[in-house]
Amino acid sequence: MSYTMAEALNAALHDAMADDDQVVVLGEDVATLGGVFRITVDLQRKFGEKRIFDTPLAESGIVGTAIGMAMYGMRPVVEIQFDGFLYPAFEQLVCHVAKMRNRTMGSLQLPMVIRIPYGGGIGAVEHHSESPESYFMHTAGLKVYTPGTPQDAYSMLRDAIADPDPVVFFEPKRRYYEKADGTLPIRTEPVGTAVVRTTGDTATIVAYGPMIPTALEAAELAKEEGWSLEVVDLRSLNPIDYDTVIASVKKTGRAVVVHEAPMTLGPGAEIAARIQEGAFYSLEAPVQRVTGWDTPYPPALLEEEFLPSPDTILNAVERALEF
Amino acid sequence: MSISLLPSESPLQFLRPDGTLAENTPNLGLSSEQLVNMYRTMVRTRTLDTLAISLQRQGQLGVWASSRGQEGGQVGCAFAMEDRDWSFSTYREHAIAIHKGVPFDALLRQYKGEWFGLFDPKEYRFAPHSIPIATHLLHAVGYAHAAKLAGDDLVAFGFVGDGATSEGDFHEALNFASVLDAPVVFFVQNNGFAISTPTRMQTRAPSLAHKAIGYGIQGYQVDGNDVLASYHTTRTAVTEARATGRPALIEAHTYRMQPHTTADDDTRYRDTDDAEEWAAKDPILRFEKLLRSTGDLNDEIIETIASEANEESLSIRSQVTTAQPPPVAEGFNHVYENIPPHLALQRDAVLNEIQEAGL
Amino acid sequence: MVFVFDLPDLAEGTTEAQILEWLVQVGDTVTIDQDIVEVETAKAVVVIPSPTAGVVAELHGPVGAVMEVGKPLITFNTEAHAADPEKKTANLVGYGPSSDHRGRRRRPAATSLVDVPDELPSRPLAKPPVRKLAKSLGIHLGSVAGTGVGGIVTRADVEEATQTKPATIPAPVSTAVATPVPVPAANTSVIPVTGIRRTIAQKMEMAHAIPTASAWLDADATGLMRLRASLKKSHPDAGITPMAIVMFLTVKALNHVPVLNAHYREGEIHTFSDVHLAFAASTDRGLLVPTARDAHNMSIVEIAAELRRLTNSARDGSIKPNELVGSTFTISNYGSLGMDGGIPLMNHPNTGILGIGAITDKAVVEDGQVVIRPTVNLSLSFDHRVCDGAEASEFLTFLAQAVADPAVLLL
Repeated sequence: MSYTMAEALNAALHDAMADDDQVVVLGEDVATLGGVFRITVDLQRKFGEKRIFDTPLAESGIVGTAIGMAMYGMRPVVEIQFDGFLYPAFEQLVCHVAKMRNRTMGSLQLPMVIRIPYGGGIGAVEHHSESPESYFMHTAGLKVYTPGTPQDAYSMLRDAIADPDPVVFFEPKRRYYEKADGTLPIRTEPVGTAVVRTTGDTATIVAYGPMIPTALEAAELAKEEGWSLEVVDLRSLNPIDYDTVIASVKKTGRAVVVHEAPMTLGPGAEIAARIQEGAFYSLEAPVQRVTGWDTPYPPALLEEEFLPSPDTILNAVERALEF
Repeated sequence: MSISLLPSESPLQFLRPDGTLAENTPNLGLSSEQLVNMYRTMVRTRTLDTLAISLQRQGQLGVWASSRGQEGGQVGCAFAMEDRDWSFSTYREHAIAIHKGVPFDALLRQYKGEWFGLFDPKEYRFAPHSIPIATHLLHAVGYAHAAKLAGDDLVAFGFVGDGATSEGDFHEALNFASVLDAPVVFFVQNNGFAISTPTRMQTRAPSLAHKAIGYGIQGYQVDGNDVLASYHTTRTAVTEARATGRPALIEAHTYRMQPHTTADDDTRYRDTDDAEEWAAKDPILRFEKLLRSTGDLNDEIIETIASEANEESLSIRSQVTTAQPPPVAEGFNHVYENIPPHLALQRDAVLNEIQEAGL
Repeated sequence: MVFVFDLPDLAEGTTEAQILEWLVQVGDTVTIDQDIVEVETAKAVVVIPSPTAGVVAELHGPVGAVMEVGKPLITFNTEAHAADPEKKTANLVGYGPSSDHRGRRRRPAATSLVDVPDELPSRPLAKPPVRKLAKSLGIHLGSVAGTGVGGIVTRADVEEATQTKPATIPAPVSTAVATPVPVPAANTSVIPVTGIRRTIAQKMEMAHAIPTASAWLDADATGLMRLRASLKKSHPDAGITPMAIVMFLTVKALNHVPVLNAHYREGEIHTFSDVHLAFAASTDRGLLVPTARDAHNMSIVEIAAELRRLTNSARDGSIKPNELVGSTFTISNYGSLGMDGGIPLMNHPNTGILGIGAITDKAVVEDGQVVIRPTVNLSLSFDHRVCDGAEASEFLTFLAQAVADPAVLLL
């Protein structure tokens, strides 16, 4: 038996809705169509129009409405259709979703999940390949999760829906059809912990979301070079489990942070800063970053140069080894 | 005054689906040559749109949003525009692009991922199409307002679909245009669906055109599959906008005969009956019938137009299939007027890495 | 020619498609854009039109087969000059989620985004773990000359410094020896520079980076020798040497010219009220430079005792690492080697070093008469970034007067 990440996400939504009738799903094309990536497929048939409904085409409206529903006591799970269409909802997210608990001293909580397919690598047109996670990691009051495996997709989405705080849940769209063996449901490590996907002592590869298969492929290829890479899957980008990251870097002495988001003020900037604070005397080389460029996401025919690949990760490991 | 801003109860129609003209059809002042040109533009649009769908299926384009079925409204509108008028469009206004002279191979190579904009918008008065829904309507307002301040009598056209009328930017654009007296024609193609979501899930207004009165601007409803009604209505709106600066909202009722994009599956959310019903209202067929009846078209002219379109299609196909990726440095060269040092360093590192790999 | 058509990514990120129906068979002649197959992806059922005109040569999967994106779907035989000029780019715009390694290995960018220093800055450079190692061994990184790019102190540099004495004698500092470098003979034998010699060599190279000036004078050592004779009588067991007395007097001279009791670091002069006086000691393993800490608090007797203790422990190897570092001023007594004088090299990061020549009777002119006096050459090298000849002259003159007549210290 096997299942895809898309199926795992669908199952997580299904099971969460079955377990708690306060869980509701809303967004553009989520109900009748089942979402443009079919993540919500069949949910309306099973749970009806009160539990999952199509909204008008308005992202600010979707998130803002979900805020009101959460204030009433529901647990809304909203879908933003593509990463690049998120921005109309930015004001609602930053001004209200992130702050409601704080400004009411905990009286009003927003246990809501904002699901966003993100990242590139699918040959898409503009605004369909973005990695905006930094904005939300930077915004206090939001949790930011991103699964890198089908198993985590199920387990972490369940955790996100159960979370008393709002969670921005980034789904690596290029990995929607990655398969895992086994059956659902499956529960993995609690969200908020990073996981060492493969152990090694040459260098630590810090990655998350769509870069997990890429990092693991790099680790496999690294064996040909005589290197053993330790891949740390962050899973949660806010909070980040720095204990696991720093323990790994203390062991390997070298760190390479990998993400599709641009380099400048990308997640790697913060992670590198934390590594130098926590593992300074263990560092054999400056923390390397393999990231997207500090440019707008390029057209499809250039994206394979833009995106981190096993090759560019191995090059970064080699640079770290040269110090 | 406010009552007069309301649109007609039903969409204006001159050209019936059977190719006959309604009794109230005014003299539109269109020459035979113009009529045939309108027909030719519709045929070219459909032919090239079909080519694009094929190319996507053949792995040449990432995705394609088809304009099939919407050629009537678009071509009628296009022919009411002056050369100096600007289009601010979505990803589905292919007839407008063709009429404006935008090289279609450039459009297709954009969808192949060679670059986002492969033509100069200023040359064709065709702003880069906007994928984020409704956002560009405000650009149309700003462009028109600036032109008016400069004494330039152009009109800006903002094209959107029915779904876009739900976005906040739609509201803001109409309000700004009205308050600023910005000469903008908002041309909404209501094709029935925003991806899977039917128009009744976007609004409970009597029509999208009824929204105009809320902003104090004139609303119009028109049959979007009737090229002549579309031409007439747009002509009325654009003439008024040019003369007075008052914007207008036109709702063209039409039907998206293809899925939202090639990545969509419309069988999951709509009946094939609808498609058959709308196929009978095809804008090209009814116009062809009319022009045959008036003697403006005959088999020979139709065949010539079709074969010219096919030749154009073959030529464009070859330009698209042989298109090459841009140099990697191009990814960095257009971000700023002058590339800042950190970005130059990054570019050089990337280029060096590629060169070292012998690529 | 043979034209193989790979299954494209039909809907933004799909990785596979199932064949629902073949609309052509092997041997069929097809035209461009003729429908050839109906497939179902995770998103939709789609019909694929032929990308070329030709004759179907092979269908790569039966109905029901799940085909992978990017792998052959159908093969055509086309005419050599087929209508479709297929010298195209990669068939797929989206290259799919599962295939991002393209079977090639790049070499790393020579243009690193990380700064590699190309000149030796005043603060020693070392990787964090090398810093940690040096710290645990009690070695001042500044006292180890780096052999890495741009003078970076490497782990090997630090480890080599520790090998001079099993675990206990790391990174000795050294001062200059006045004797010139011997010229290699014609029949050259090459001796690897390792161990303490290497440390000395590196230390000397660092000294070379300091803009140094030197000044010297011959001092009348009559008072010094008298004092020594007197103290030998009063403290027969104290082992008081002329060197011990010069060290005592040097402390006084440094109190008089404090800018020479200093370190120069990154454009800053750090002067100290405490005097930690380093002195060069020849040992079997080479030159070591122990430091008499808090020399400013010591009597001549105490200095003599400390001098003897440090010299002995340097020679027998029991000296502690922290007794080899932390000096604020240095003395090199090449007089003990029989040299009359010399120009000492700086002991980084000290700003001054005093060289002492042998005390010998010399004929000097005094009040127009040639007389015999015990004479010592005092030579000061100083960091010219920190002070100028005036301060050097002040220091040497003060010291010479004290050497001639220590009683001036009572003034």
